[in-house]
Amino acid sequence: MAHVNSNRKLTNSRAGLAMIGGVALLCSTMFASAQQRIMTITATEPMTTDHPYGESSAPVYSMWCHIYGCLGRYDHVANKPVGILAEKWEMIDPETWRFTLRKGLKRHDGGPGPTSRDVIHTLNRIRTDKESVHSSFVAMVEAIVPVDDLTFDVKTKGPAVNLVSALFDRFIITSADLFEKHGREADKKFAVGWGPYRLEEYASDRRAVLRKNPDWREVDGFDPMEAPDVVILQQMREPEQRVTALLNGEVQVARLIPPQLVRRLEGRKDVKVDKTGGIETMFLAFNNTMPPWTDVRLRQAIAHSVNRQLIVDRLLGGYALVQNGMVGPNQFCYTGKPDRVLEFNPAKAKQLLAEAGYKDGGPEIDFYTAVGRYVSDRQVAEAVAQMLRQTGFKVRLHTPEYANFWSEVRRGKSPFYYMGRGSVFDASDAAGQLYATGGSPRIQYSNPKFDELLKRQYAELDPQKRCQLWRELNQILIDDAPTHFMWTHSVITGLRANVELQVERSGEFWLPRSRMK
Amino acid sequence: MARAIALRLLGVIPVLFLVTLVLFVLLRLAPGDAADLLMPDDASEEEVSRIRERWGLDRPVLEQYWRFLLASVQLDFGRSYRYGEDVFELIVNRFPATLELALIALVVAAVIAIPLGIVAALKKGTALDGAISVFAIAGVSTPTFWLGIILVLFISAEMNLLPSAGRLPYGVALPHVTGVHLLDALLAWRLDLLGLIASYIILPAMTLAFGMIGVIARITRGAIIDVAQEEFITTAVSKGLARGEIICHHLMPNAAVPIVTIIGLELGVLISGSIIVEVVFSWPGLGTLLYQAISVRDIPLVTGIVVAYTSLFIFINVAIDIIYFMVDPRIRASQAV
Repeated sequence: MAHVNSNRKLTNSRAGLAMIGGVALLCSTMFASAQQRIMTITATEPMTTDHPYGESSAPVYSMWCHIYGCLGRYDHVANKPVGILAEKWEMIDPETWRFTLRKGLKRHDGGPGPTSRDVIHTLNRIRTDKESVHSSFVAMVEAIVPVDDLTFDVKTKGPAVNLVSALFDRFIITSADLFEKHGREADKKFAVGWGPYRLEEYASDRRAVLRKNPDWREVDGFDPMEAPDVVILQQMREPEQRVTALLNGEVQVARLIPPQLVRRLEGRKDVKVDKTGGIETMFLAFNNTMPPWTDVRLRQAIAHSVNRQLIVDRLLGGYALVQNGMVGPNQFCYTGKPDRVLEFNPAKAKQLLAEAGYKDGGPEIDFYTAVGRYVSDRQVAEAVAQMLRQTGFKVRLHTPEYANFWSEVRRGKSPFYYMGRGSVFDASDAAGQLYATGGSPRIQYSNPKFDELLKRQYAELDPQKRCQLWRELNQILIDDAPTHFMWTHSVITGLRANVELQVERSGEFWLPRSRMK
Repeated sequence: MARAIALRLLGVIPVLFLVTLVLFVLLRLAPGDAADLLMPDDASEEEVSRIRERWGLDRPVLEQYWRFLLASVQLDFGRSYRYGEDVFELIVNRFPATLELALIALVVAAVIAIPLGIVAALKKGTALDGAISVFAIAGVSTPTFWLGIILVLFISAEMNLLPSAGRLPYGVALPHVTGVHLLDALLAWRLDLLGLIASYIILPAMTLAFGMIGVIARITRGAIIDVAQEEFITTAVSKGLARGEIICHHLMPNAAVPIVTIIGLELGVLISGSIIVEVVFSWPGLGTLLYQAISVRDIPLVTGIVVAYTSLFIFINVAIDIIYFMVDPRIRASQAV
């Protein structure tokens, strides 16, 4: 019977400061809210717009998927894609996928269930709406062709076995009817969809309040009766504040706890800490066309100079998993340790430097890192720079503001930098963009064999053969070292003891499967 | 007086012109733009270029600036790239939260700092004066982000006395009249909510006020010491007037001008300087808005907010001039001549 809003609990605890009338009000609202389970979750990414395609981050995709509904999601526990609004999908040919939507769904306002027309409207809006920033993950889609009201074909521009992983968790379906009637106002006054929660309040930079859709049943028929009735996504950017809010009961779920704050939560009976292996891949990247990084020996020398495990143990509190290549144990198509890896080996690094003509030390290199974007990024970069100096590199470490850093990386102007790539589960798209010839200016790597294998895996229908291709791709990336992979961070989430929530590798969770005791 | 105010208000035009021009140029000189920063990592260069074109970021900077100027004379600052909303509306919606925080901080600071300054002046050279000076210097020197986090750690986490973030919890219905919650609660006669609203303001307001206490206390002390050396004070003492009467009727009115000036200027500083405090306490005001806007080079929003800050500073300065006129008979006399 602990179904009490945390905010009420907190305000009760400071009754001394509140006016007597305030306490009376709180008591009455406590009574009213005692019948419902309210779960407050910290939101760490910006929540700035009620436009469902206006912001691009995993937590925002997840929020709108819960409200409007997505085609499906990847269940990282069951290790398979599961439907949300779609109940079936199959590949008709390498360039066509057929999806079937669920029958019997009702829109939150009582309107009809999702149809192929809504799906086509969604694709058009993602592509043409002036405020949409979601167009990248539908870039591979040529067209969506309706088969009937509930069935449609997605035609891709080329073979795309990875289409499901590209669309699931991100392709948020909105109503064509409501948009035709109300335009952009539909997102504000008629933000209704088919998902397991409906939007009750959206206050940018503050919170979003979601209320359970009583009609919702999971695709397998599961009734989420024990899931929270109300979920509040409360904006809290500062990690200290998130931990504090969890400890004093203001929130029930505190996301993205940095390693140095985990100790504050451990050993307490009222909270628990969930540590899930993540899929945000961190790496040292080179612009392979900028000297001296045109020389593979120097890139490998960097790899041999960095003691990744030491950094994980000392700086990251052990909350990361060293990764060899682009596909690690937490990702799709991992087939075990690669045959050859670039281990920490300073002697080998010095030998490679000497072979490259730097017997007496050098070269002088500029090393960039974002600050405050990734876990302990500045400290990691400082440690890396120190390790490189010990091998003989003359390192100048630069720590620009993130906007400057990212713009330079995107334009291919950063020679050598530490950064990450979030939500790399199926690595196909990220590999295509970062390592395929002409993929982007960021790394400027080119290897015809890599390109050919990558193209083949897009068309390989047999999962085992596809994963074998990935093993080869991974090995090429290790040997050529266009980037040196460092680790994947653990996703650390603080939970109140009465909350059961399966945190997935992406850091997200599916609320209908959560429980509040 | 009216002429002076009119001249001052006319001076707003070139100031705003220069401020916006400099801002535009600076933002354009920095690497990257909103399209770079708002599109996801996996967006291709073509998609980023398409967005850039859609938002008009591919046009020459002077053309962008000219379009901005033409629109801004009608108070149309364009749409924010990040929020997808009209910039003017965003500013109007967020301003009350910042104003409320700044005013509360100002009141807290003034109530603490002015008596401290008076005591320090009256006990000049004593240990008490020294202690107040140390406190004042500590206030000025303490970084607000640090103080904010420390207050959260001790008062919210350790003592569990006050909430660590936000402005009002979910489920509390408060009619929106002015957007200043305390005022709205009073207007709606919801006195039961005052304690709850205050509990959310106290920590950010204390954080903001701490730095200002030092400034106001030092200025008050200096002003009182200066006035205390005037002959009319010596005359008042010679006439045997009570100490309290001298302070209230002779010292304070004559020391008021610099104190009013600093309080007025500090209000402007508080409003424009609350960015870090708002971010630390997740306070949904102009500071948070500016922080989000700068981080993605949202030029319309950054420009709109800076224009709002600049206008506010000028308005406060004009208000200070009017207050001078009211509190200082010498200024009234000089205007009359």
